[in-house]
Amino acid sequence: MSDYSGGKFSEYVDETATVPISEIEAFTPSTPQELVVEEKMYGINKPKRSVIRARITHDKD
Amino acid sequence: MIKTKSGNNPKISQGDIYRNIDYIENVCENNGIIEVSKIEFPLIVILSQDCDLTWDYKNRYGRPKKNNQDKFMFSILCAPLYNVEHLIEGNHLELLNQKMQIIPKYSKRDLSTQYKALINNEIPRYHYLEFPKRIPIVPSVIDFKHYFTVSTKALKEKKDTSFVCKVAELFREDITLRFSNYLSRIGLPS
Repeated sequence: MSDYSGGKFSEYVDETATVPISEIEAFTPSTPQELVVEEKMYGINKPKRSVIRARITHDKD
Repeated sequence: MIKTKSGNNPKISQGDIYRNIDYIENVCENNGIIEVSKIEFPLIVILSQDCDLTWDYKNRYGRPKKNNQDKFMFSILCAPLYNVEHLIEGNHLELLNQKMQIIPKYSKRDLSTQYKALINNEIPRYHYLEFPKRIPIVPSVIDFKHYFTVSTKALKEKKDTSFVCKVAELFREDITLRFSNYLSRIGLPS
């Protein structure tokens, strides 16, 4: 598992900030980033696995 | 058949049953893409001790506000409920690519010994639950090998929309007693 206190994710969001994963949603509305969420769902009525992928990019404007 | 209560109290309680609860399997990051893998369980039952849940609730939301967080719990222990018909066919986890043991329901024309042991709660690993008709849950089984925790805060946020019912005290104690017995079993070398 990656360390979110450093590495590329922090660099994408804010070069100076330490951003834990739990703050992603809170972070995006007030900052000029774009959150892209892709969710894949499999099956119904039995336990099922989903994978959420989120990409945070800089807003060039 | 067990007894249940329908009232949705603000507090999370031992024996509460919730629907559509996520277990976060893994979180990783690769080249700026965050990937969260989770398993959604259609139904789960709360196993954490009720007194711990009560004190957590009082400490978090009680008035006057406490000056410490001594009773806070990071997470709450729970176990999935599986449809008994899926479980005996061994396909209840097929969407997770897991094949499970098959428990034959019939032997000739009668219920099999294994199936009767399952529904009479004579197999330590499993706990069979049959709900009153007003509760929209099919006969289900808890597999005591399967348990996980959910963030206390996350579960509280989902409580109003996910609450199904509460297992009555006597029956919930039966669940947790059998669970703790199973968990504390000693595996002796054969």
